Amino acid sequence: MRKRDLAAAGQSDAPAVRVDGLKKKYPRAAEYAVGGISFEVHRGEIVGLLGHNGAGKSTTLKCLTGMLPYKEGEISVFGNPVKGDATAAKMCFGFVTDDHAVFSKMTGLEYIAFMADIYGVDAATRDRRTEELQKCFNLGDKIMNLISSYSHGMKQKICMMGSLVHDPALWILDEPMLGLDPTTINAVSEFMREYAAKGGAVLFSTHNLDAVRRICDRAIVIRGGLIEADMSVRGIGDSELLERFFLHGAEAEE
Amino acid sequence: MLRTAGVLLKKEAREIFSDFTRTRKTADIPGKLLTLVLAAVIVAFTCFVLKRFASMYIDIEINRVSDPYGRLWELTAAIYLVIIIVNALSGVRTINRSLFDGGDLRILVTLPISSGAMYLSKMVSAYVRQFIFGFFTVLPVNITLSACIPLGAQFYGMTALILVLLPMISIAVGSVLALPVHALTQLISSRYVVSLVVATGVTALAFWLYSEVLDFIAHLISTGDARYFFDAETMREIVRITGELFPATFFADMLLTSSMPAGVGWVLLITAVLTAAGVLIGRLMLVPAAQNKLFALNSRHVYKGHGTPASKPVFLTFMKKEFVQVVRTPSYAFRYFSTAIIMPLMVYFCMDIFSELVGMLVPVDCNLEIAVFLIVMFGILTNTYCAGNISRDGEFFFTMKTLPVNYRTVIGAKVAFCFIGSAVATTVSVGLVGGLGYVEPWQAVYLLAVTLAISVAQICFAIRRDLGHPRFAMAESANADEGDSTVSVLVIIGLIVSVVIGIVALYSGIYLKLTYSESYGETVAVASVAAIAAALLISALVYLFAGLDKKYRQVSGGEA
Repeated sequence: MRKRDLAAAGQSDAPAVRVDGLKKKYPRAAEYAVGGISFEVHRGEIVGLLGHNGAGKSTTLKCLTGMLPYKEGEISVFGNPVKGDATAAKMCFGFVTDDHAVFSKMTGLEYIAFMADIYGVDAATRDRRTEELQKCFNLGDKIMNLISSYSHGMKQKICMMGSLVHDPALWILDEPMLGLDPTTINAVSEFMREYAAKGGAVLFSTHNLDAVRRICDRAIVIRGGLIEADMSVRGIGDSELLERFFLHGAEAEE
Repeated sequence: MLRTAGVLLKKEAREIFSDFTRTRKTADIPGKLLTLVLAAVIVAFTCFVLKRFASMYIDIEINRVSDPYGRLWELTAAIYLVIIIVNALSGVRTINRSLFDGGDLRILVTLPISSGAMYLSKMVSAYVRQFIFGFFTVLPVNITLSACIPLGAQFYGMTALILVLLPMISIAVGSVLALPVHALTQLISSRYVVSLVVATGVTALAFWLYSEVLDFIAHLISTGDARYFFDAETMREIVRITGELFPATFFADMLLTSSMPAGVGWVLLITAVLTAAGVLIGRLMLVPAAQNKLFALNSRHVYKGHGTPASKPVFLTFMKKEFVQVVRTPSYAFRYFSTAIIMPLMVYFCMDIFSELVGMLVPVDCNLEIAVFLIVMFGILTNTYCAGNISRDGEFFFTMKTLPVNYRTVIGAKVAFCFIGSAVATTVSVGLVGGLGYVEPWQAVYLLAVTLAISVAQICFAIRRDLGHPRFAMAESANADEGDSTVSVLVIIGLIVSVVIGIVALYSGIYLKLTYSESYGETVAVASVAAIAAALLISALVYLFAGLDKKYRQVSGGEA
């Protein structure tokens, strides 16, 4: 049953992500953290959700992944709704949190096995996949150690490996480059590009303008819980325009 | 330096009293009340037993010669030896916490604060803590002793002096022993199996000793055997031994004899020497402790995985996660495994004492009712582990919400895992009670059903309550912050439930058996307890599962 679910996950022609009029307000907060945003992410795209601290990027991703409940708006992943029981939607993506919230009492290998079991990945596929991911993220023998003994970068890597063990069609990452060394940033960027080239969709949040310029096909700039710009970053002049939007907001354009 | 020390002292004072100044939502009021009530009960019980024992002891004659003040001196020397040991142990604990447990020293060492100011603030704070501890150990004992026999101004004046000096002695002893004790605890805690076995063994031994002492004293007082036990030969031996209980004898001299000046002199000398040694060692240790140089490398339990795990169904995957969490965190392992091992021992010790005591009081067999009360009570105390079932996941709980598993699997695995430990401990306890012939086989089956139902009810209640007030550990690999009221509420409700069940069972058992017939009393007791257990189980299941989906989604913030 689970294997069937996994095989079917992400095979739909629907957009990888579809967010329509999402609004989110935290309990006892005066204002909306996300004030009604809509966007789509398609297969083969790398999309950066760009914004300053507190802009609403993480809240959007948390609503999208089912971590945060929301009342207003609709979100679907490959056509599967995220509201309510979002099991079908969750089968389609892998998510890397911004705080490396992994289960630190497990070894790296146990954590990957844990994630594989949850997604219904059989042992042979899991082992093959772990080997492939090791080539990219290169944890070496440390994969046999307790995660609590890992450095910041190693925890980020094991989170990424765990999120990819079921070969999801959509990869979502919250501030993935934070605290990583340049070599690992390059490796992760390269992996994202290969992943998108094979037909996967990547959506990540960041406040690092340079990361978006180097990696993304498209950037969605969020400010105060609203989308300021949804634009390509591949064309000539796109980069400067993106910088103006990010630093000065929509008023700068007017 | 004094100004800086003053600022640091304010910080220490805020930390000491932080429990009382926190917001109403986070303050553990039930926990504080429970601690106060339990402390008051323990002090009151100790004073009651001491009063009875002291009144009997001072009347003892040696070769028909009565010497109440001599007997009181022996008793005081023996009691003060215990008080000094208890206060010294508390001092070691206080100093160890000040130097090694608090993270504040690591911050303070980076600030322009002299080690003298840091040391002074830490020691003043430790003195206050030890003074409070000494106040609650010395004063009740001395008041009880003064209630047994008339004592003059010397006794009360010296009591005040002891209250001032004893904290200094305990802190000095703490400073001298802090390093070896810390090294020993680090050595034990770095060896996982050894630490678990030692902790379990020491706890079981402590409970056994406590029950034996209690049994012995209860036997002496209730049967009047004391006068035969304390014969002339035994008394001469007691006089000889108590005369050698240094330095407790100096305290007894201070309080009771004309050698008071010599006693005071010796106590002051001991205090001065120990304080000098304590200050020297404490100052030498402070900065290395702050820089985490003392045995820091031993502090982490190291584990290396072996081989590739087999593939498992989702529910078993979550069960394994719970198991790994417990087995690789020493404090959780102690609370899960050790309490489960100790529970049957406690049931056995108490069953032995209660069965004998009730048997002396009433001419009917009440073993089933006593067993119900004891197993429910100890089962509830054993199950407090499950009060942090959600909080224990830390930030990983949020990650789990992004995985394709529903709340039933996540919560169900937690209930099942807690139930396994509880069921094993309860079954062994019932097996012991049945195997030793306290209850009939059919009664053992009934006992098992009732106590397991109450255990499940407690587990469901605890998990649902923790889901409503999770306190996720923020630091990597840190234990869950269980300082909020979930554990206290669980213990309070548990104790109330066990007392109610105990009263219902024993009332029905004793009163109805004596008034009507044995079979009528037993039937009512069995039916009443079964009805309470069933009501608790149904209520807890409804409490856990009603709106669980919504509550599960709400945990990370916002409305579902």
